[in-house]
Amino acid sequence: MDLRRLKSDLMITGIIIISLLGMIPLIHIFLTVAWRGINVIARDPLGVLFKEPPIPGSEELGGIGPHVLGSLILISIASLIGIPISILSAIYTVEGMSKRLGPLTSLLVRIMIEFPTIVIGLSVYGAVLLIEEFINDLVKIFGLGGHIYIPRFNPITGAIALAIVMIPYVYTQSEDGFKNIPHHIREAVYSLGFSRIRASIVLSSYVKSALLSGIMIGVSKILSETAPLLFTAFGNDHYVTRFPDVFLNPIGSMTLWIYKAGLSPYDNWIDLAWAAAFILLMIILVLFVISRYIIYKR
Amino acid sequence: MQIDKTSLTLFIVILIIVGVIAYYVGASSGGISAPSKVETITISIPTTITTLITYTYTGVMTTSAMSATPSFTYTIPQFTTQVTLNGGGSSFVNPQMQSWISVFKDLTKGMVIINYQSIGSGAGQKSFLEGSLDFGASDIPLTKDNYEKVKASGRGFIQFPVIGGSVAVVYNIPEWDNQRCGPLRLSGEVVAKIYLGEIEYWDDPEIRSLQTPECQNILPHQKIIGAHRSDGSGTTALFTMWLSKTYSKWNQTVGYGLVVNWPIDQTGRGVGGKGNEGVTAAVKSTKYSIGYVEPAYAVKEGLPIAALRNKDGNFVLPTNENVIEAFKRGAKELPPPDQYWGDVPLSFIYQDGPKAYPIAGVVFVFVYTDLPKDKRDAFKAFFIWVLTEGQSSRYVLSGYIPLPPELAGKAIEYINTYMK
Repeated sequence: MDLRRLKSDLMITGIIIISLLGMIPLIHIFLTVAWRGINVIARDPLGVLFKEPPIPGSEELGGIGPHVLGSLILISIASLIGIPISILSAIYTVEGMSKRLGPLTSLLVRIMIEFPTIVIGLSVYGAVLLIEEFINDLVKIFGLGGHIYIPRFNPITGAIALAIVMIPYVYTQSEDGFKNIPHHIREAVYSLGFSRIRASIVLSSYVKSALLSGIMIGVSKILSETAPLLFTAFGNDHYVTRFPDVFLNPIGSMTLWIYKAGLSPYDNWIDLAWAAAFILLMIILVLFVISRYIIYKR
Repeated sequence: MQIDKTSLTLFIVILIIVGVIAYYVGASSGGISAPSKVETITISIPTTITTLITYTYTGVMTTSAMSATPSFTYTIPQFTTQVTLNGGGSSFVNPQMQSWISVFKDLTKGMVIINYQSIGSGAGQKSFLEGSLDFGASDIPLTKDNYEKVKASGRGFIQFPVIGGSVAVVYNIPEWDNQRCGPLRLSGEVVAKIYLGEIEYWDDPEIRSLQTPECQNILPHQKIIGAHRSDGSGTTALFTMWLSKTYSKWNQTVGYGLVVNWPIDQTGRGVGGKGNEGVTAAVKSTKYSIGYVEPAYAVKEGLPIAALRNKDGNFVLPTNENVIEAFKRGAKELPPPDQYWGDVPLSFIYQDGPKAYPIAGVVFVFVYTDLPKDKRDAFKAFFIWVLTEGQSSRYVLSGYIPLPPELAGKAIEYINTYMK
């Protein structure tokens, strides 16, 4: 009897120790990023947030302003593209608008989660090249002359790549939300004689917490993406303020900056990479807490 | 199925319309932004600096060169609307380029924004080739492959040098007394034999015979570890060019390039490092090793730099003066900008001249001449400024060597003639 008790206690202690060991990397990452990031940001909080990056290897600290702004622009455009598509397609599949295409959409979107994100970035880059070639062929056919050039690196292609990364995450969350609507509620809504579209709108307000948490998960997913931006947003260390130029030139993002500056040999760039990592981590943590809270309340 | 087809065509049509509109919006607003007229924002350089530079160069300024050589003042045209230029490539030139960019941005009151990303020399050439960036920069001219592709595309292009640099040979021999014996002396042939695996020990007679008599016996009987770059790099290209030029067997068996097959790796005494920082760290932490890096890295990490035997038989260090000497003796005439420039970097390597440092090289910039008008004006203004005032000691960071005035003058001539 005692031996069995001892064995069980030993087992439980072992499990606790192992789970603590498993948490060490997480805690370590969090503490290192927080410590080094706060140290850099504390030197000049507003400068780090708004100034342009400094000359590498100089004494100056500068800031990551263009990259913070770039991340915000990219994420806003990507959300504008990605969120409507994913929620609408979730409605399309769950509300049975099409018997054959619905399940197929569901299956394909679930496959999309597994795509390597670098491949998504590359294919968007490739698509730009193809479209340019196609337009130039048209130009030749109609004999207009001249060469039409689409800028390879710009916020729109970056946002499209991010939206493609985002869609499956938002989609699966919203699909689950719509699927979990109790049968009697759906029947009640339809019995009011609404068209399918009106009914879907009513139903989405019923599952809005599921939709919101899906959006949060999607946004925090694309916030931390670097690979799809390498061939699309490319990175820009300066503010571009003129109107059409913003959408025709490369744009920076915090992840691209961490990738580039973290690998560089220059101390002031590496410091700013830590600052960017800290800001990113904070935003993602806040989004995570909000989405957990929404799910908990549900 | 039919619905899908129509929606797909609709989508493509919308995409095309959006693309065309975006292009024309960009092009039309770009047309307005051309610099209206030349105003005088002459940036005068303190006279001390100007005299310093003329003093350094007086010896070489021939009359013909003088006509092509601009003064160190340049009037930047005024830009009334914001222009953005995108470039990328060589990581060696990155700090210098960012420094020029930030000064130039201030000089144009924030109107010319240049975005330079250090993606590496190879990627710089490729991005230029594909037209995904407005200009590319690389530690060596367009490679034969890339050159032929650009030529085949039929688009006009130019390449020109912007700044110089050198490669230092570093070593880690605890027994060597730098105070008493000075820097270790090496020749291209000996270094080539080390990297070929033919010379195995530091006390090899060939290495000993290069040292001063009183220091010949300090060298230990220890195996030599050879550190080199594992990634493609302009530093490797310049270093292997030097070995190829000084030892014919190296030229026949290994040759030169951004990446080469290192024979020393097969003997188990080779170490690869990523980037200059990787090689510096490898040499610093490995006793009895030898490596090659940009001098700034060796100075930063306190690694001893070897004196190399130049063509005249003198042992020289990569000081500014010695590297400038090599540039002076190298190519005085650059080939026409749309020709293959493979021989240009070779002309700076192992040049004669009593003080010339044997491993010197310049960074090249590539650009298509058919840039949109506003970008072309910004490009011209920026690089002409770089090639004039940008070369003065006020703007050149330590570790970089200003171009000799003949080369800078030629580069400006090419920009002006081919990018009207």
